[in-house]
Amino acid sequence: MAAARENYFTEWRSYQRQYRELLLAKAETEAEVKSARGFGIEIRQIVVSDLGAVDRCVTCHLGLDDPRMTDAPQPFRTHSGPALAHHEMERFGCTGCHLGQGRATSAREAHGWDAEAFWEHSVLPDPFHQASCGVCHDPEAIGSRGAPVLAEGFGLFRTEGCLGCHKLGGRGGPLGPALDEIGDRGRHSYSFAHIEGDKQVWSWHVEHLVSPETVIPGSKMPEVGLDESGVHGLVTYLLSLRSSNLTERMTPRDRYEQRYQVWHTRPLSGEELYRQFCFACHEEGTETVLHDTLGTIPSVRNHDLLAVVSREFLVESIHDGRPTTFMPAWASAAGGLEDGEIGRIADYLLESRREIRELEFVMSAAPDVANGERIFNAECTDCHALTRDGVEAPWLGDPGFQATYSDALIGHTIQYGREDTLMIPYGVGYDGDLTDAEVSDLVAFIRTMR
Amino acid sequence: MSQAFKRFLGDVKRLPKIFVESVRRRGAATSDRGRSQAVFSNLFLHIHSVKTHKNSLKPSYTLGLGLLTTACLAVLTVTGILLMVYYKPTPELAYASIKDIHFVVPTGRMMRNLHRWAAHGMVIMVFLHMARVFYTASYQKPREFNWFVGVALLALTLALSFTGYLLPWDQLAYWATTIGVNIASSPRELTDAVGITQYFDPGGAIKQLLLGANTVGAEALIRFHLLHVMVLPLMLFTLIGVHFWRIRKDGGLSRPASADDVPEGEFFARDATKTYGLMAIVRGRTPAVGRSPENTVNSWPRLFVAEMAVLMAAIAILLILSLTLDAPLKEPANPAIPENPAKAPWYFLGLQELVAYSGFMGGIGVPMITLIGLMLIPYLDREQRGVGIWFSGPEGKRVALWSAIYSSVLVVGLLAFVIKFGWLREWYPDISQLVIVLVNPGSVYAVLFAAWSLWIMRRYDSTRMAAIALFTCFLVGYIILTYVGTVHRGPNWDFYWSQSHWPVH
Repeated sequence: MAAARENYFTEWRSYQRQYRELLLAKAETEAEVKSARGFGIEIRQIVVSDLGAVDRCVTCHLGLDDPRMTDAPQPFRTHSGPALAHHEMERFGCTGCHLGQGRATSAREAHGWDAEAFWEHSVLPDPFHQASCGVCHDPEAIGSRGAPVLAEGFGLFRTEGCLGCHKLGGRGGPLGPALDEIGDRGRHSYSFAHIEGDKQVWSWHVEHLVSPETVIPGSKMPEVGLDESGVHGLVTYLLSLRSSNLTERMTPRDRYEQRYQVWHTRPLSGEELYRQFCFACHEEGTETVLHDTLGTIPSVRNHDLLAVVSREFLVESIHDGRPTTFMPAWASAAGGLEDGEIGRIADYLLESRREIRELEFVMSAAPDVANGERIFNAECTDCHALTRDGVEAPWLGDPGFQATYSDALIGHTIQYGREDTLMIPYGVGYDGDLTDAEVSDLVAFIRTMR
Repeated sequence: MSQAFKRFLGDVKRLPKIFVESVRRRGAATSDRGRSQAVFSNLFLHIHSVKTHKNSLKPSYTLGLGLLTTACLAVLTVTGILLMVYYKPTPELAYASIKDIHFVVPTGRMMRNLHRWAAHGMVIMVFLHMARVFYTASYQKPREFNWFVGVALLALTLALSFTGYLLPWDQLAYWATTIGVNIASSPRELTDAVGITQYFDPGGAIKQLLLGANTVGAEALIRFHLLHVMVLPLMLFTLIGVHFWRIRKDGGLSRPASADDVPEGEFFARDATKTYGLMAIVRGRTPAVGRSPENTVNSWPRLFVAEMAVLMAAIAILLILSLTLDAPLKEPANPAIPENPAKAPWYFLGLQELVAYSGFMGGIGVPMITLIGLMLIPYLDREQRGVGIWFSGPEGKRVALWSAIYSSVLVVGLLAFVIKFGWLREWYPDISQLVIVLVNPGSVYAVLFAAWSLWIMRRYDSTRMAAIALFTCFLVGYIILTYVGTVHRGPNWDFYWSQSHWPVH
């Protein structure tokens, strides 16, 4: 019975019989008729040792390289596009680009679009299959040669600030998981509890980018706020982050060139770095960002701030971060930025500086800490918490804050406020009613916060 | 034409007949003598005796369970050898070779399915066979040693099934094996609690011996493969040889004493005009004491027809199962992503339930006590009471029933209590680890089962009744625990009424 099932009733045998009919119908010359008659019913496979692939897809997809089959029904249709011209089937197989289960001999199990099926990767649908181009090719260079979605995603990845929280190749923030080889993670590495669409990796990523907190309750990741094509591009790029142990003869030329570029890298400009590493949280940097989960994110291109701080202040803040907040340290040992790069980010921020003001505030000789605490409780605790758990305004006990803010700078900020932010002026003569002595008391108290 | 040439032509014509005769060596079995010769002149049949007792042919007595076990083993051997042709025991190739067997090897999927379902079938049949032998008191003298061998065969069957579980190298296999090996290495829990692990570490030694590494990997796979296809089968077949041989040497299958009674009255009509020898008219037992030929029949053909029927039924059921249900194969093994829940093979889930409280007592202590207890039953219950009778009579049936009820109430009750209110660690966070290791719900069960058995022994003044009580308690306990572990345990080994209530992950 098993023999009968295998010999007569398998799906692929019926496809191959249909294909033989199709060949006979399309045969015009004597030779074509003869070759159609000789079409054997048998398992066909491509073995690609370089990629470790055994692809039996061609058992049913029989007309992939036959130009007569452009109008044939699937699974017999000719491979679309020019891809096969550069990727001979014998050298590359099918699953290297399309994924899926090459060893399987039934459509359901080979494609893996059924959520109950057990294996790592389902066949990638359009446009996510462009991810595979990025495994071997430079994602930017391949954009004009058949993978525009991938190229768009790669562009967005570099301007939306993903690296602010995620590491890739050792560079990036620690808040989110690293993205190295994320495309290798199969369906079983994901939780589909909150996914409405297909239980597939790409739909997980699409829904997750649109609304991270729906897919992973408690996630702090901001919504990326892109349109559908942007989201698809970003997902395609993420899925292209697969490990590839390409042998030299399988490596395409643009990848060599890209490596060459990496070895002789053109330094990224301050703005490019800002977009890659800072943008996701600070956005444009000209306004305070009030984020649901990350709290209040200071406006780092605020002209009023830049007027009173030095380049060293900015470098030190970026270098060491604000340890008790979501602002990580970006030094090469932590976030992976070189000192020169941090300097260029600081220079980029300073481009928004309109004027330089000297700090005029001077601490009084003997400030009264107790009085400072009283004033702090009366005036400041609406926004600034006494412990690190408050997120309304930056916590002033943060070691990064304490290290970079001089007494004069704190005093100045209290007196003068910071224009265009929620920090209003408190000093006498600046719309406030705190005297110099009282501000000194306050600064002295803030110094005691830990 | 020469005579020789004529003879030659005649022989050519009769070639098939001559060949068959040369194989059979005898003519058709038309007489009792012929039927006897059919058995003892045949290598494959002569393992049977020439005559078979009628009682052994009663389906309601043996239920054919031993034979069904053998049938499963035969299927496993044949399909196992075929699977070995394509299977490659390395982590890189194992999973892919199973996929190839499934998708392209001719009848490969069928062979794998048969192997899988026959393996489960054999485990079930071994358990049932043991229960049948126990409840008909067939372990008693002179069959004590064969029972001992049978228990060893049960352990070997489980070991074979367990070692085979890893070979597909999918997530199910990988994590089930990890659990199993952790259970095996749980003596370390005891040595840790006493603080002597660095001097004496049997748990770690078992683990190293099984895995050849600290985690399941390439070394473990090749070891499990070697055990599964060589070492354990050799041991199993050797012991099965002993088991079968001892059946005959111990006087055939057990039967009630009454089965050897000669029917009352004349058992053949005497002709008044004839004279008879003493042998023909003597009443009661014949000189061949205990083997009255009156209650036996020729093995050929009745026994063999019965055996063939059971074998064919077994194979038919396995074929239907294998055509309709594919053996499971999950995603490839991934040491980085533990299954949750990671479950051992089903027949170990009762143990895993106990292991959830403490590894050593649940995974090693109680099972070893059970296994040793099983082996010792015939040496501790020396009564010759009700041999060959189900439950040794109505009294035993009552004891078995009450023991089943006692055990069900006790096991379900304590389990429900533990699930609802937790176990020692939840009540006394600072309790000594040694107490945790030793006082497992499993040890509580064992003690209470033993107490019940002793009470039965006193009450009925019979070790056989005590044995029935103890065996029933353990059997029912095993079934309930296995059921709970299989059906009601979900992620993090939490209790769920059904799998549909599991949190989606």
